[in-house]
Amino acid sequence: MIRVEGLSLSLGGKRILEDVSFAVPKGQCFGLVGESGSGKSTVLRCLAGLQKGWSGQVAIGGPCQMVFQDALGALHPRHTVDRALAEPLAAHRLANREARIARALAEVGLGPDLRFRLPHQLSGGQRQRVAIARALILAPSVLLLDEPTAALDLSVQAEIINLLDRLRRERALTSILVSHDAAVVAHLCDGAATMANGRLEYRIG
Amino acid sequence: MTALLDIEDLRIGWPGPHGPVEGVRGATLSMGRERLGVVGESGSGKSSIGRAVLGLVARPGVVTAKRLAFDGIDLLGLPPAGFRALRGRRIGLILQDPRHSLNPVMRVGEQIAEVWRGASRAEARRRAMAMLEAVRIDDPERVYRLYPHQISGGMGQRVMIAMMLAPEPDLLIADEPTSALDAALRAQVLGLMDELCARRGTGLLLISHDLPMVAGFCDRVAVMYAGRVVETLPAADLPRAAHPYTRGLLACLPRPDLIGGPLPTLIRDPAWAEPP
Amino acid sequence: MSARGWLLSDAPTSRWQARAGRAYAGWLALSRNRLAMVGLAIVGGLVVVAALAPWLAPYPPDLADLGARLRPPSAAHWLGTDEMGRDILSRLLHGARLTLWIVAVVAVTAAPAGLVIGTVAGQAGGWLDTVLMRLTDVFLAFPKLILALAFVAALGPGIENAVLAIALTSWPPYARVARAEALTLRHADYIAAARLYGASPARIVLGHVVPMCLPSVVVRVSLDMAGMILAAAGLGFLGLGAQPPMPEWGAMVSTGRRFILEQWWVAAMPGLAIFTVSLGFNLLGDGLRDVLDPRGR
Repeated sequence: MIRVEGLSLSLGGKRILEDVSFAVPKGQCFGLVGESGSGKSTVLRCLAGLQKGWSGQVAIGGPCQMVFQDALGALHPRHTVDRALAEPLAAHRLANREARIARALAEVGLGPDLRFRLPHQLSGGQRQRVAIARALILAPSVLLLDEPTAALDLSVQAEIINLLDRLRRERALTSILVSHDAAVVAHLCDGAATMANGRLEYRIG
Repeated sequence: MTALLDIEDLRIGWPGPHGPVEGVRGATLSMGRERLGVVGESGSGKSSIGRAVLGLVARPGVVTAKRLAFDGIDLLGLPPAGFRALRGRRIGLILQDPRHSLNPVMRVGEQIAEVWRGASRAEARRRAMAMLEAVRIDDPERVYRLYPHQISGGMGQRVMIAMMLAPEPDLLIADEPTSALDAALRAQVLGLMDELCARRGTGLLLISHDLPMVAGFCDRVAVMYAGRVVETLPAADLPRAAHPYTRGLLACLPRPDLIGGPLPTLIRDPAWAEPP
Repeated sequence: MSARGWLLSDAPTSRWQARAGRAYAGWLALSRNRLAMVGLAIVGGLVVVAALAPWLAPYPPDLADLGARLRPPSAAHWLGTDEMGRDILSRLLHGARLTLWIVAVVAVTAAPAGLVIGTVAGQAGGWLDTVLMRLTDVFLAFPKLILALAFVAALGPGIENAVLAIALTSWPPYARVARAEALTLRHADYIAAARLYGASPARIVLGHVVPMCLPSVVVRVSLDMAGMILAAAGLGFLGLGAQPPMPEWGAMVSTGRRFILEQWWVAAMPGLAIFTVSLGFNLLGDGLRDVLDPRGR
């Protein structure tokens, strides 16, 4: 489903990624663990098309969405939950928006009472749920997760992990999880690799 | 022996539209020259405690307590000048993002050297350089001349530590000092803080939401919930924690035997928020 | 449930209630700022006066009475008369329409133009940014009044052309302000997310970037209103703006200048009007800055 072959990136003469190659079969979750500056988040940004100037081959077999570490930064501060979820639908001119938004909210366990709130009126966990709902509302087949629980309290982290695990099974999502926390990767992923200095090091599973 | 920090029934309230809102609702805490971790989720009031000790609770916030003392000094009636004498010199503070705490238009070395205002320029510079070396900055000559925006988050936090420990305070309050840093850097920064505090006999109050990190690093852990310290125990005894909130938190952590199934989630008991 | 409770509800049940609630919360914040309310009262007063000028004014604005030239303020002429014996109060009231028209035209043309140019430049980056910003720099390089003078000289004198010239010279600062805001959003995750779910560049600029830049531009415009009134007055003073006998405040000041020592009221009254309205817009702009802070709260 996802095939990355010889992905390399240099910015300002500095090697950020060097010959990164891996493949993720359909329906599986692949973890990338590594230190700061190891390039693990950059791999996601390249896959998502948010980073330019890379070389190598990347093939993704379907529409792809991303969940960011900092949900507060990933949601528009002046858009209500309703607007955040309506925007992707409007961008694709999809019909039946009301029902789709209501369903997306229910699916991530958010009550209808939160629908017209602004991001700053939500808790950290609720914000991340909104971000996940937005990523899934266009029914992607690939989900890129960039440290989705790193900014959350422990009890909320467990809830979000469970949510992601359930959604990826229900929807047969192919996903890549970037995290510094090996325990989170071990819990969610079928296979994983560690990264250091822009290179893939060990592969597990 | 007087405790370095002695807090009893601390309450911090802010006027709200429907009457005062208390962020801290009777917290009790005492520490010596040790590493004490204060753990709690967002909104549990953990950061407000650090601010109250430094006299930084901004108006219209109101601080009351049965006792709030630092090294025998009563902080409750302390005038602003008294707090200014404590801040920096006797109590240091490290916050989450060093880039917000450093002066953006002053070279980082000069900011550290400011501590020795009485000494000659050359002497202050030499000492600041020694501090930068102590926080393991490879090229202190070069870093000394950099501005805060030119250094990375990890280096910024090391500069903050150098700056805060330079006056040799008795107590260092670190409020989420590693949350803005990556995992690998976290261990490095914590190790550094620990080493320098231990060498000088500085007490360390580490405020964080990250229970495993605090547990692995501190001597004792105080767990906060809804504005109160619900449990204080030696870090090594965490697996035998008594309070259901602490136990619930520990149970939420992903661990090998839970792979394949859902993680337990915390079911909050309203009784936890009640006074004991 | 009370109307207030409904408006300030934490869990609005409809898009409409959420919007009304936010507007009401903004109004509450603004109304707590006393100076802003003074500004709002002045600006509101200007609108009312402009709308009701023919009914409020005791005399027609152009009614000359050469027998009653340069009379000091009295019961018959509250603010005195000018060199043609026209009632200054009546002229000021009618002039309010012109003033309001000038600021309105500039606000609805220059502000959106600057906003769009700035946000597009800031969001797009690259050559488009360079081209748009160098164009802005060219306009900024000339003093505003000189550039307006050149435009009016080319277009011909008259109040319409003066307003057009002011609008043409007012947008560059707004473009700069908007671009500065847009630049800080360039690497925001929510813009990346919008790009990722397939939002078009136009949708990103209009739906995501503009709302974040709008408050600073609105504040900047309201603080500039005074300058616009003065610029129009300046052009009128030079004979390139409002033509006599139009009761334009700036033109009135310039004619009153000749009698400033003996008949001070001729220049002072329109000057006071310009001062009051400018102050009103400034106070309101300052208050709006606090309320419209895009970072929520």
